[in-house]
Amino acid sequence: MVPPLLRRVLSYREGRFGFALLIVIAFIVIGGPFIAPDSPFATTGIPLSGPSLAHLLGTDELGRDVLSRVLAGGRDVVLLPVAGILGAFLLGGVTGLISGYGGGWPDRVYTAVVNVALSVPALLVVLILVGVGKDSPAVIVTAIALVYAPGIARIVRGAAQAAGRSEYVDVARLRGEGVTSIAVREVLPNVAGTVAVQLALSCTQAVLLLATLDFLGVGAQPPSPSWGLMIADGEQIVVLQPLTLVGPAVALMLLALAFNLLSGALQRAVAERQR
Amino acid sequence: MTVSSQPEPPVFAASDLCVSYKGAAAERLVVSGVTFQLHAGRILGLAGETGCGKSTAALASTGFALPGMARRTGQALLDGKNLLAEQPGDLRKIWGKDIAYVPQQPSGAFSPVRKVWRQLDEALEAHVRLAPADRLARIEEALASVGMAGIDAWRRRYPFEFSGGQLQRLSLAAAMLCAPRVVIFDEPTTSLDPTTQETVLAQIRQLVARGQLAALYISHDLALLRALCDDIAIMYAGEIVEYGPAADVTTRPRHPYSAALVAAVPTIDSPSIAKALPGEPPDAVVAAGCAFAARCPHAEPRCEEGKVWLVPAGAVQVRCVRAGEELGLASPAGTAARRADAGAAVQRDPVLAARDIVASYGGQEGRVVLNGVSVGVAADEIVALVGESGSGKSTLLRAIAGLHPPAAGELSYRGAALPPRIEARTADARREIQLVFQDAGAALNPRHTVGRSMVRAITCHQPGLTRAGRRARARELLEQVQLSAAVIQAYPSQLSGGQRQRVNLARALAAEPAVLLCDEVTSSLDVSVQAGILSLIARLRRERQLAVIFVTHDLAVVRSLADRVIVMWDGAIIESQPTDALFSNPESPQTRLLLEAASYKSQQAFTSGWTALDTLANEGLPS
Amino acid sequence: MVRTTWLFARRSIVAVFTLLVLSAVVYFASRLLPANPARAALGKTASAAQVHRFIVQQGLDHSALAGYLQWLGHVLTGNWGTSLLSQSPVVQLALPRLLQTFLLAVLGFIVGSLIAIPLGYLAGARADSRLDLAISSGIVGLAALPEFVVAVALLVIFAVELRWLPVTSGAIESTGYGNPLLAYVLPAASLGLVVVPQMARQVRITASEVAREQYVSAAVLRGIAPRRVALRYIIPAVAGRVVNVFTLTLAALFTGVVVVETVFGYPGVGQLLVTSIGNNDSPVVEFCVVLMGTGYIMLNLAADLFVIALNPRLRRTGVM
Repeated sequence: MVPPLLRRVLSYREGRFGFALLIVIAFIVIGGPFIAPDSPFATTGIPLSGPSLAHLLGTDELGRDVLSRVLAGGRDVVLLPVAGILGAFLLGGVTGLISGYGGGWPDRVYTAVVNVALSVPALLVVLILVGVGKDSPAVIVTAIALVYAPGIARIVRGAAQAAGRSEYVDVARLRGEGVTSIAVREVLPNVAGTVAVQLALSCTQAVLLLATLDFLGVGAQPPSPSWGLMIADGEQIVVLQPLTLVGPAVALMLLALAFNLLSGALQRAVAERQR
Repeated sequence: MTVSSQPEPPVFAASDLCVSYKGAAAERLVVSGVTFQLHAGRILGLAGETGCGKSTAALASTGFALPGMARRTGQALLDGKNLLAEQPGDLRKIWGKDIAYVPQQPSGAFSPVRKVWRQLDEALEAHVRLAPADRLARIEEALASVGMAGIDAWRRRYPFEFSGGQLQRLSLAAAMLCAPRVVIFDEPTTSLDPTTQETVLAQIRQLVARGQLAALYISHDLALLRALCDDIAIMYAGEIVEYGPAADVTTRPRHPYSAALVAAVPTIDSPSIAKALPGEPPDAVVAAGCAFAARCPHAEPRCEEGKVWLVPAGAVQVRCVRAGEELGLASPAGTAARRADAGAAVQRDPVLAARDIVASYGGQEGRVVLNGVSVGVAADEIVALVGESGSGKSTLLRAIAGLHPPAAGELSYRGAALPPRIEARTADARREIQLVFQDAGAALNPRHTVGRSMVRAITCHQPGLTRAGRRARARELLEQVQLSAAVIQAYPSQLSGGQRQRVNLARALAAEPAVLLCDEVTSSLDVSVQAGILSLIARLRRERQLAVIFVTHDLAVVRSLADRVIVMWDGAIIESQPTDALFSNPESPQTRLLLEAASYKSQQAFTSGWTALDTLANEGLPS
Repeated sequence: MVRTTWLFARRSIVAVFTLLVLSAVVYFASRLLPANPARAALGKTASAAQVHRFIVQQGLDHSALAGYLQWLGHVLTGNWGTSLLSQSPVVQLALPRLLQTFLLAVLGFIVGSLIAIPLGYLAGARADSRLDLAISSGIVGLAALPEFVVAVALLVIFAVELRWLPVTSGAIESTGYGNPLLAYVLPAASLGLVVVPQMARQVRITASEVAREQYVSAAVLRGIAPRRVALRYIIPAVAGRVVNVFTLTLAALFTGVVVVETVFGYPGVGQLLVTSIGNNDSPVVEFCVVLMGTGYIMLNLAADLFVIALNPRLRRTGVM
């Protein structure tokens, strides 16, 4: 099921581009700290100096190597949101699948709960949770999971309900297949595509949300090399050393672009597959 | 080159129309060399099956730019002007005023978020300068001419507040507003019930006669075209293959495809099963040779080379290399086996029976759909359950199958009580009663290959087989429904409608059923494909002594297939008789209405026209 | 008419319920998350007496549920407490800013709509054309930029480098540039750009779907002028469907407001919220969150009602 979808995604130009970008980003995020010339916290250079051989992107106001900080900062920016989204999927996706397929009054209750949860503005909830709980990773991951779960739940539930109403499910029922068997064998393959698309979209949003939190000073605290935080700091000294701003900004944009392109390609692949 | 035999000049003449669509790799030619003429007061029928390009050709001839269209060549002359060469601004003045178009779906004629009367007013305003009061008068006139006068509060209504038949007549009214001279009808009655269809067709006949319209009527229903039209053009793979007077084309066809199409139409006055046409039509124009050669029983090597032109042959024009020869095509009836003789009108004990079934939708305050209905079927018997939409026939079938537990009533199978819910039935009961759905595509999981769907069914009903054994069994079952083993790797979206329905039947057979419940299994298929499925069902019933309940709204299909016919109307059974008896001696007035609405599908109508339509059109119509 | 009222009533009840849920989340988060809420709020230097007073004031000495109800009671009577930082009543601090935030949101929405709707419609009505490709690529590029990057970029380009516009909007009355209105330009523009991708994408998809509907071709084939067809047939159908997605745009708008206010020092509720979080000023934080949350929920309700008004089928029969 996965390889043909992947192949289809890669057949589009946007898919190839996004995938390539993603590989680069993954490299930076995972391998970054290892290939960085300096520690992100070490003040090895003259503050606010421009690009040089020792410091390819120059140094920031404390003399830390900008390139090293960018390479190190990816982890915080990416890993926590992705973990949060996976949590959101476990919470929202599984319950949505069961409720959407099962139907009946439990489903109506579930839908009402999800709708109310969706009406509560996400950023505000995250702000208050993280603002009060500070930047402990557990709080951040939980906050993201709680905030994105309802959206995912709604979409998965919708897809499960549509699949559950179709005639091929009736055919399985007529064979005497049980609810679990039908949910897994018949419904799940038809929901998987939508789920994959939603996964990609939510990851994009969560990453940007966390970067925003860092930027606002609510999430990661100095001296963390989080890109959002770097951009906030870099804003102050942009006239003196623009690379402290541009470096992390470009990295963040490439990450967001990669996710966006992939979600777009994935969406298209899934839609074409249904035809 | 003129193809018609009329002395007066045509009002509208399309010549050598070619249309191609943008494709993934290259352009796809979908219409080639289409030429036709429309004369005042005469209707030309454009016939063909799904994908032959008839709608495309007709729309393209108006100068309309279809989405995805790459190129269009040819001429379409109206009043000496070539519509295909006109500027968009000038075309707009012609559309709606000189040429009108009636779309297929009633819901496709009007925007759902605006009042219908506003949209009619706009259509009129686009062409005439009149005061609002005068415009209203014109609109009311148009409504009266389609029998829609006097509907209360019609000006306040939105499209969803009218019925399908009413909407279709409103669509006709919209077309007639500016008194056009040419009208193109794009299958406007396909989604309507037979009785409603009859009314709308009569309306069309009347409008054409009164307004001396030059009309083009597109349909896949050849019998309907014979009944309604003066001339018929049959299209195949983007080309016109036969063109001539309606009676000649249908009773003395000169092209093997036309003959096959006629032979595939089930009729209410002949008990033989319509003949199937094996194979699939190409989905684009064939470059070299005759497009039909691959499926033609009269094909010769020379049919595959060079270009084939339309040439005169007798009363018609035909696109066939062997046009001049006598191919013995004109005897379409009686070519397939007669159904197992209904001399056995003996009432045998039913193997499956339903008694006093009451069923409804939507809980307590829902609609009651079945009002105490009883039905039974014996082994080696085909019972047809006939009725219009809303009669409850599908609900009854689903109730028997166990998908829609009735509110009251009992079911019995082989003498023992049958639980109403499928989950409560024994494995044997589940296996022996099989349901086949109308929408074959929806009944197959789009994410499973054919092989996987088959193996699931086989594993369920024959648990003892090994992996290899299951695969062999799948191949065997597919062979029984005349599908090659190659479809095992295919996904449902890659198969045609007919192939998907055969897969469904093969899957049902995996259970070795005793009872087959068919829910409008051929209603969404082309007529030539339908004939194949019907003979398959007839054969399976003979070979396995199956008990079959066949639900359909098409009475003609029933004549050749069923032993007994049960007619439903509004949730109740109004008549139940052996087939021949019902057709020759219907008892209830509703049955007579249904028979009349279906009477255009008869040998008699083919030969001498549909008298019921003439009567209805001439004597005025109810609103 | 009765049905419409009933729909309206149902939605309103849900909205009120949602508000209660939000308030509960706010209260319980403040109370349960930090190990010692009083300490966390007051800082290490607070005296024991201050801590004790805080505990009583916030109801922290009671059980969670009782505390919540007490807090809710205070809130509904307008008693929001005082800012821990400035000792002035929270309500006095925050309410004036509400107007500014509202103004910014409206301006941002207008700017965003003016850009997104025409672009989205053009792209959708001529789907798969070169114009569509150009517009869609632009949208994808813009969507990849997080809000703060857009805001900072505009700030750096127009205020810092080019010096056309003021850097901060803090002292709006006296910017020193002669025209106080200029202070609104960059924040509104940033906010507008932030919501453009969402809106444009949705408008585009809907426009291309509607343009392909059969009734649109039927209208064209009746000779109705293209402009009229667009205005009376395509756009109403697009509007009806797009309003549904209004909710997503609203969410982006709220997130954007917080970010834009912070970047530009714009004196709105969002900025107050962020600085209060940094200062651990929990009464202010709670109030800001509830205030913004209420605004969001109310606007959502308004959007729902708008959908009902635009859809005759829903109005007349109560179902789609």
